[in-house]
Amino acid sequence: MTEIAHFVKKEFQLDWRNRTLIGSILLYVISSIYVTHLAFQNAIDLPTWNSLFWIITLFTAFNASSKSFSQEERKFLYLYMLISPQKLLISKMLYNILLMLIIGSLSLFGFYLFISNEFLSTDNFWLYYLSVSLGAIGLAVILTMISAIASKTGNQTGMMAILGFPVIIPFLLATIKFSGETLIGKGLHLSGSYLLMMSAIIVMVGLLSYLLFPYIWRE
Amino acid sequence: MQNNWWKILACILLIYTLIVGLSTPIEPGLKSVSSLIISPENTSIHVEGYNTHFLDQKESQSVTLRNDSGQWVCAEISKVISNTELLVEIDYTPKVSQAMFRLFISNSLDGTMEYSDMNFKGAEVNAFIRANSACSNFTGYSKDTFAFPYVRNLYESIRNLFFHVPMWFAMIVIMLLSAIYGILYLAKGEIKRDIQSETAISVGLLLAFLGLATGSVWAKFTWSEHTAIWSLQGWWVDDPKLNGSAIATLIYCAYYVLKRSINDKISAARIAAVYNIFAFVMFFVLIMIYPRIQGGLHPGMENNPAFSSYDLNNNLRLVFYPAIIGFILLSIWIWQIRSRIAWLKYKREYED
Amino acid sequence: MRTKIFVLFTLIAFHCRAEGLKESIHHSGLIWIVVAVLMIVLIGIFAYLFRLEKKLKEIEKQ
Repeated sequence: MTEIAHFVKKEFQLDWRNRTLIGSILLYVISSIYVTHLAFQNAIDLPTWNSLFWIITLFTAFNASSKSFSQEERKFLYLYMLISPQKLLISKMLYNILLMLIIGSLSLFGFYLFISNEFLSTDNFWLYYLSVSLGAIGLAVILTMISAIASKTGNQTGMMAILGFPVIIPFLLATIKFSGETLIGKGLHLSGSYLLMMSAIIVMVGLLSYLLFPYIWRE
Repeated sequence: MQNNWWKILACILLIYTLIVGLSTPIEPGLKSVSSLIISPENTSIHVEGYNTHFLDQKESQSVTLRNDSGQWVCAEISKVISNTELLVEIDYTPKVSQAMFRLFISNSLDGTMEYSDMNFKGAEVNAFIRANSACSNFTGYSKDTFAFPYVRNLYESIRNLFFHVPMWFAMIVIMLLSAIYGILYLAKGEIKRDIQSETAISVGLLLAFLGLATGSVWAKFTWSEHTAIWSLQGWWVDDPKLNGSAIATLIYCAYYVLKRSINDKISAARIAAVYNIFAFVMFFVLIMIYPRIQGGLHPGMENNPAFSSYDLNNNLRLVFYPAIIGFILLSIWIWQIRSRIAWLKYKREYED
Repeated sequence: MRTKIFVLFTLIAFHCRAEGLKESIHHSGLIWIVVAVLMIVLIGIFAYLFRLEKKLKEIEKQ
């Protein structure tokens, strides 16, 4: 357990020292939201707002997690020798989840600020935020595994998109549906089934990754 | 011979599907009416039938209208033009408890046929009339010969159920087999299992493609009849199974790209197997949740003529289930041959 | 100019044919759709089998 915590901390430190990653993600979120703001000129309705939010978050998630197992990290291969594949996967996943939670909150803030603030109110904010958090966790969990697979090929960013998009569709559909329901003010008793669906997918993908990851990592 | 029984079964089932599926007639039904609105000025309706015998069964033929409150309106056949065309004269009622009526025409050969959504215009709705007994001149017959149900807009094309939908089921079974062989490969590390897994995907992609092409043709000519034949409109409809096939095509094409992009044969096989298992689970999740979400998006889905009325019909099931099993067995057979060839090629390349 | 007229006539002819085809499809109770679907399925499976045989021949040649 402490090993994993230590590893997550190390990841943060590495990224923090490097700055380019965090900077590029921040810039990506802000610029895409700003471009959307300029393009739509406030002529936007609730489903579009919600879908746009998820599309931008999805692309940011691809950007952020594609580097998880990237080539230049082969330099730290000796570090990976010290830790078992399962623990490595868990720590990578935890790190990606934390990163995605930050990105999700950030882009929600950006959407509220730039695109439209009429859809979020004090009534539905926390439930919507729950859907954003769950969506962020799910995206992180699925994309960690995909980026592990893609890292074994020559062309990582391209493979991420090819492998990731079809696989992520079911989760994304459930997420867009759930967040849309919470946005129009439906309570948990009405939209709870989607919540269950999302949680089930996250748990299942997590377990599957845990079982399959050693096969990828074995050189 | 002992191991070939299922291939013979596939043959028999597919021949059965072709013969029974194509030779069974479609039940008679009402195709169209000249006007859905019945008003005091317009009480004469021209009715067109499909597979009907209006002229031959003139003597036993009668007509009536009924609404959901159980109210009957009498009508009579004023003129029979041909076996598929007749004129109905309706007794206009000024007071109805519900304006929407269903038209019934019955004769001893065709049974009772109905046409819904006939609207009594100008009548006093919600005038509380007690349900009166059926019109004395109407006799309802029932039909008990073996036939496929009549669905307006689909007509004969309801038979596509046996040739289009099994593609989808066969694809799922083949993809499941591919994932199972992927697991076997990871467990044992035999390259033969990997080859079997890969060739299963090749057959699965063929099935997905066939499902997409046939579904597209079916959708274009039944639901989008108003569009021109060469216009791109209507070739694609938002159906869960069609979209599922499209996503499966994407997923498994990505599998090939992944496998080709890794140079080392062994690690390519291993990583592709992992992706295969992962992708199949996600695809299965999609199949489970997509119809629920789609149903939420389109509340009218249950009214879709193509997906409700024939789903539960026993006559269709008698052909539909054998067709599914037949096509599944046929695709397993093709898969076996395909993987044996691939295995032979592999052995030639690496043993010589 | 000549080609333009030719293209125009071809288009008109195709339009008439297509409209006629559509009408006859609906007149015959859409049975032609069943024929088309069956043809797609059979052609697809046969094309696949031919490709398979080509692969087998390659191995036999070796």
